[in-house]
Amino acid sequence: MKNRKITALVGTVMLVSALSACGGGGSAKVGAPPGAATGGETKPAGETGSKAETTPGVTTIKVLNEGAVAIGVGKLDDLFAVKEKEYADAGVSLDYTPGSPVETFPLQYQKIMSEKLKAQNIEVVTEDWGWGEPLIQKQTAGFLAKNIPDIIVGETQMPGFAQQGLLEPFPDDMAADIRENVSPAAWKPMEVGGKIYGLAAQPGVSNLFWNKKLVKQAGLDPDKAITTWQELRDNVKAVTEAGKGKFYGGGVYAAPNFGGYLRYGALIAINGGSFADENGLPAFNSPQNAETVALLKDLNAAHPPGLMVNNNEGSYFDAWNKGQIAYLIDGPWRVQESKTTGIDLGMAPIPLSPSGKPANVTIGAAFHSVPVDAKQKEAAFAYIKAMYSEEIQQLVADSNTRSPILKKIGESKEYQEKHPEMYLHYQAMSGDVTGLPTFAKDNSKAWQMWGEAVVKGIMTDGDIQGILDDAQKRAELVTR
Amino acid sequence: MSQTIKSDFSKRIAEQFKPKYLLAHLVLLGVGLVLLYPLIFMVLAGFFTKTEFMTTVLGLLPIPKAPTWDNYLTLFNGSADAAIRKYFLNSTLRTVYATFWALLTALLAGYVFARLQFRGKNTLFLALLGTQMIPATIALIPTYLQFARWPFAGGNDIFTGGTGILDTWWVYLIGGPSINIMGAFLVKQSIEKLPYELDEAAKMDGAGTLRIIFRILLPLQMPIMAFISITTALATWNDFITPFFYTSSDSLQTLPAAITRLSSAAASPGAVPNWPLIITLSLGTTLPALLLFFFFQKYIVQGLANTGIKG
Repeated sequence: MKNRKITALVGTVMLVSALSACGGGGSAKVGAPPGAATGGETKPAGETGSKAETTPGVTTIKVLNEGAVAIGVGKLDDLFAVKEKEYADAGVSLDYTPGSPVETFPLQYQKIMSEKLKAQNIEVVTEDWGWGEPLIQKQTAGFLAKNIPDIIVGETQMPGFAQQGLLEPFPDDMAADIRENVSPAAWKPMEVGGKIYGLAAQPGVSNLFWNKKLVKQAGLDPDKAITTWQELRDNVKAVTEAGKGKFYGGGVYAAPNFGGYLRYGALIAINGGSFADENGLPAFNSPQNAETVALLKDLNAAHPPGLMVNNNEGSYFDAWNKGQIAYLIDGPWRVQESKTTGIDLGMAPIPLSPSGKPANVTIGAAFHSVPVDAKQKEAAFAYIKAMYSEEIQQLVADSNTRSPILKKIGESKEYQEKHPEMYLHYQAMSGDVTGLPTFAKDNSKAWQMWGEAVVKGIMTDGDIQGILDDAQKRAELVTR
Repeated sequence: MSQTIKSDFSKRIAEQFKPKYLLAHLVLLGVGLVLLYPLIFMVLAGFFTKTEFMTTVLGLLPIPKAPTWDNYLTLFNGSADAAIRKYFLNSTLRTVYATFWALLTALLAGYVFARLQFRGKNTLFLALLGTQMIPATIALIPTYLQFARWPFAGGNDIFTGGTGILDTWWVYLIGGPSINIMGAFLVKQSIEKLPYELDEAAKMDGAGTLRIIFRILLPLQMPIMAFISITTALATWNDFITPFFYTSSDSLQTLPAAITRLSSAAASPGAVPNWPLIITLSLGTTLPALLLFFFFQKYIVQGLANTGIKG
């Protein structure tokens, strides 16, 4: 009896101490209600005074970081000095004049954003929720708990969030402005039911890149852009033969993951195929898709064994950076990166199939959206508006890593002359561009079935059409 | 005497060089090298610059042409992007706290299930053990909701309206270390092997339950306690899910979570990964755990042997 009492007492003390620590006075330390305004002060959700002090009379929005422009986590204004010191210590010039090259792109991006928002009494607190699968899991939990930042960012998951009604549609006037002045690649994949739900300030689409040195070693003209699938087949074969196991023709990454789908999705689109129909049901086994998989199979023969379908994306691009593959279909960042790696780069639109038309899939597009549970929606939309402002878009143009999305800058003569390669990319962004579809049900399982079927088609001698038919049947069962 | 010892030692050494042992040793050496290779690779990769690592076709042993200390300096001094000391301190505090809590709960719960008699004891114990069968990933979202709905915390009006204990130290203090079920199981097994007369003798001398637990039984559980400490400390030190998923502020990050952030930021569009730095930071996370394991591994075997689990 005594033992029981003691055990119960110990348990009760533990529970009470745990609970009391969180309640009452504890809550003051834990944080103010999300977005609750007190005397003109707005606290971001979950922020304690010790983490990110906010300014009275100013609306504070919480924004998830996009890796390419991230400078740290916390109140934006507090991060500038640290980042400037880091650049200065590394001997990087902090100067930036619009229209000239920029060495400190993320810093300048955030400074412009901060200035533009400050003028509207808005300040930004950034958070880092990672990228890829961890980000999706955390966002899903955040939606369920209604604990979600004012601006969320993501890639392939974002259209799905929009379809599920988790995102706020852009105000009509803003949507009209975007349709008129912004390149479709920046918003078209986030258009659901005639409404726009997200915008990427610097999306990418894929182009064909080639390592001129390797192409030349194969006896091919390194300055001649190839335009057809057959030429691509021939050239990768020629380079592979010339490489004698030291380097290969390459082509495109085709692993069963989004990194693969985003890249060879452009080939699918060019050939008139698709992953899903307009209702989100699988459309795996079209003859166009089978033709594309047949091309992938041929390209696979021009890669080191297993590399093309290696689930680790890094290994594939490592081979490109190290001059082991000659051709690559990838996003625009290759232009700037080749300057670091010293690769003499050729760039052209993706070659077309015999009956194909130019088309593309957005890649590396960090779509920014406002969740329906955001606490500061108006300020959040002001943030998105700043993303396609002239100042930000001029900076994107000057970075030479991506193309601007603002037509006024992308289509200017100055841009075409200063950035001829990236102008090619801008043109590709302005054509028939889509995002990856979200399947009606069990999205990840349907993608898995597609990915596995493609790998089977590439790696085995099985009949490609038969493999896709089988995947179609199985995917129909999970998506209907 | 010393002559005899020396001669025994020489004999043993000579024995090891006999063909039948030599082959075994060579195989073991080979396996050892294979197991050690990732660590060697990590140490060497830390001397690369980002560009050289990205553009060089690495040999079996990656030797940089232009070695740099920058990555190791960042590991020890931190940088603007990675406040390593802060993360290290958070990792240490979290590990110490979780280990202490695991020991306490394992001992108390182990005692309760080994010595006390109450209705439904076996069912309750089986239910507790059953929770160990649930994969941790399934519990992620429910746990997130539990933290977000924590009563009266983070602006919550009873259960809703705020952020609960998310993104606060309470995630680590309350959420991280729950009752250490596996530890409780081991302690239960071990205590059950001890004669009940020990407890009775202590009672006759006037000892209460807590005195029996902490003064009589605990000293006999030291190998188990060491085992629980090591396994809990290693698991907590390496855990990146809890800080990554339930906290967002930089001030709450631990080393593995910070490294995950750096890696995932590198995977986001357009960001060029600094793999040598990421590898060096990973090495920094791994080393304390490795050292802990290296010096205390014998307790793991000893601890398991005491529970009667080891054959």
